[in-house]
Amino acid sequence: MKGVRTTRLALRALRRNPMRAMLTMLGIIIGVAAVIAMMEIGTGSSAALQKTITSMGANVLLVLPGTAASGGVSFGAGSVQTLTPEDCEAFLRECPSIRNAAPIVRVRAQVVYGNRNWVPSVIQGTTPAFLDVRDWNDFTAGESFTDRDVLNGNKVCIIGQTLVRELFQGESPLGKEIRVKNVSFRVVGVLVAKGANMMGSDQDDILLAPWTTIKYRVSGSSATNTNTSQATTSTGSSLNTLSNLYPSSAPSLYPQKSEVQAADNPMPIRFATVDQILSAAVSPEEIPAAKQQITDLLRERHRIHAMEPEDFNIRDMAEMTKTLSSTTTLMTNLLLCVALISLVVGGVGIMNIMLVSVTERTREIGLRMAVGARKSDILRQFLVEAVVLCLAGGILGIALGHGGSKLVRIFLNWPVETSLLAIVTAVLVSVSLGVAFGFYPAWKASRLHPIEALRYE
Amino acid sequence: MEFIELRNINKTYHMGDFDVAVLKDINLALHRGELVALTGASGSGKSTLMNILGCLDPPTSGEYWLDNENVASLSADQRADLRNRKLGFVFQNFNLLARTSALENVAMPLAYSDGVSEREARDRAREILVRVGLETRLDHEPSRLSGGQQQRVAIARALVNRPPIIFADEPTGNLDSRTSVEILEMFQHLNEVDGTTIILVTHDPKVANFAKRVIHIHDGMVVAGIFGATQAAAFPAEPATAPERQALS
Repeated sequence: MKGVRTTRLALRALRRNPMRAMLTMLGIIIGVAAVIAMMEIGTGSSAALQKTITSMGANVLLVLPGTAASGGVSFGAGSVQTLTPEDCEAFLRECPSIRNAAPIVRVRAQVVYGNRNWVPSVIQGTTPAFLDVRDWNDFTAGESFTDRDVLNGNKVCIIGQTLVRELFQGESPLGKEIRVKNVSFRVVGVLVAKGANMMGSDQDDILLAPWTTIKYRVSGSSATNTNTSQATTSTGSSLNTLSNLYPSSAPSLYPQKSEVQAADNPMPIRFATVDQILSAAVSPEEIPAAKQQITDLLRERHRIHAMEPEDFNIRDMAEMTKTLSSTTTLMTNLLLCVALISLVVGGVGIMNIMLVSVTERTREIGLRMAVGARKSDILRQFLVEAVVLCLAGGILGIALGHGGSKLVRIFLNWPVETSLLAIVTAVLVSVSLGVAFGFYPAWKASRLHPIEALRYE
Repeated sequence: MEFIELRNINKTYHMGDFDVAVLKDINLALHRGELVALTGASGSGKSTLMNILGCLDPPTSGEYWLDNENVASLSADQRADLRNRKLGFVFQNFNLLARTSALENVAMPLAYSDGVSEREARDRAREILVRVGLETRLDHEPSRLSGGQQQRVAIARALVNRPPIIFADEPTGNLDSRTSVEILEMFQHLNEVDGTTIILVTHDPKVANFAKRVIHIHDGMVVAGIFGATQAAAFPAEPATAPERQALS
């Protein structure tokens, strides 16, 4: 009964003095809002920064075929063709840490349009997944070729900005036919500029086409480029023309089988090989796991015994991954500092205003005690006031901080990410500070003799 | 036993290493319905005595019987209840709640007494404000009231619990002389009509003249007015006469 009465009393006291209540709440509102806005903007920026670095290829894994060796002489990466498009599909199917993977067939050739020609630094046959792996999904015109194009070996391509500049000179390349080694490709898409990579080579100097088209129509027609194109002609059980040319102790892909064995277990013949498989891990942290999964999968698929060396190599972007993780750590620490400073500043503000607003009412406390309020009545009244103020201030602070960061996103176009942890921490700290510093002076005043409280100036 | 009876009351304050005896062995008795002035120079101990009489502060030793209750043995919360039920306070600086209407100021003490609904509290507050002549000022905040009106609100607040005793600590200290007379006459009226025991604490002999009995404190001891019959030589016993009232105003 008495509890309800004092609660009502506290609420009425707040209503009676809206200015003071508002000012008191302002401390909490600003404290909470500052922490939330800083954290949301900070987390958003941090995430955007990580995404940018990731889009540079930080989580890319490049799988290359292994090396052939003869009598201690190895022939370098790519000297055997061991990777197949099916390997690539198996990555997607069986490696949970792989986000996407694309086979790559490389060729170097002249590209002709009208009376102009150019030799792009990169002509790659691949699948549309390549664009996802490289985080390169934006086109200035047109769109990507499709999986159906890959299946059918359609003569379509997408080109980078350098090619547009060199071949088309202001003309729209979309729908035009360009020739690569006398094979005519229709341009279906133009990629946005990506600029140079970290090594300084021009990434826009690129032509992408379905790997089947490049493999069978372009490089297949080239007699000179054996390195990338023998697969079309290999129809026998023996896969590697090079290892036949230079017999070596290099891992043979399949153990030799007798005629009977072969008849009993007809092995699927690998009609096609690819030069590389480009894959992307789910996140930079998953790279070691992805590497392990690829290794296990390929050893199994290529039937490599436990003691035998691998017939493939995996390269990751260790430098970039390191940059990314150090950036992430930096941003996390920065955010922590910002949040702590905001909390301290907000906390001091809350402390001051609560101390002042209660101390200022010492005489009111004395008066209430003189007319018969018990200590517990005084304490309850001020506790209720502090709790109500802090909760209302906290809620308004969340709204203000959240709204502020939303405005920043709308008007400054900054990335913003809602941080639940920030909200919970800010509200918990502010409310407990507010209640503690609203309660403490009231508790002190309630211990005074009423007459001293009454005389307080 | 008298309505109010002090027996061997001592009050000692600790100031660092020293004990300062403010009240020394005070014996005093007051009847129900008396109008008493408590006078003395500043530092004489009259405020301390008033605090003890007003149950705001317990004595260091001695017995204080108020209406057959030994206040000295009560806990702080019990004293708070006692103040709420039996005592009303009027202060020199009014001590009204700012930005709060006269009505709510007067009803405030009732929030701490059991069994009074809010509606009842407001009704009683209104009734008493009408009695002190503020029926047109019910919703005014203290800042919009004159000093005399504020003190009347404070008196209404002291009366709202219908206490048998009212303590007035320098009630005219912040008022001009004409208003002072009005307020003091109001106390006299309350004393005569309702039989409320009124204790005026003052250092001003003119104010003390309104009382029927003057208790003079000096150096922590009652030097005059211990017994109702005896009057302090310094202050005439008779209630203030008309010419004296003229002199005040």
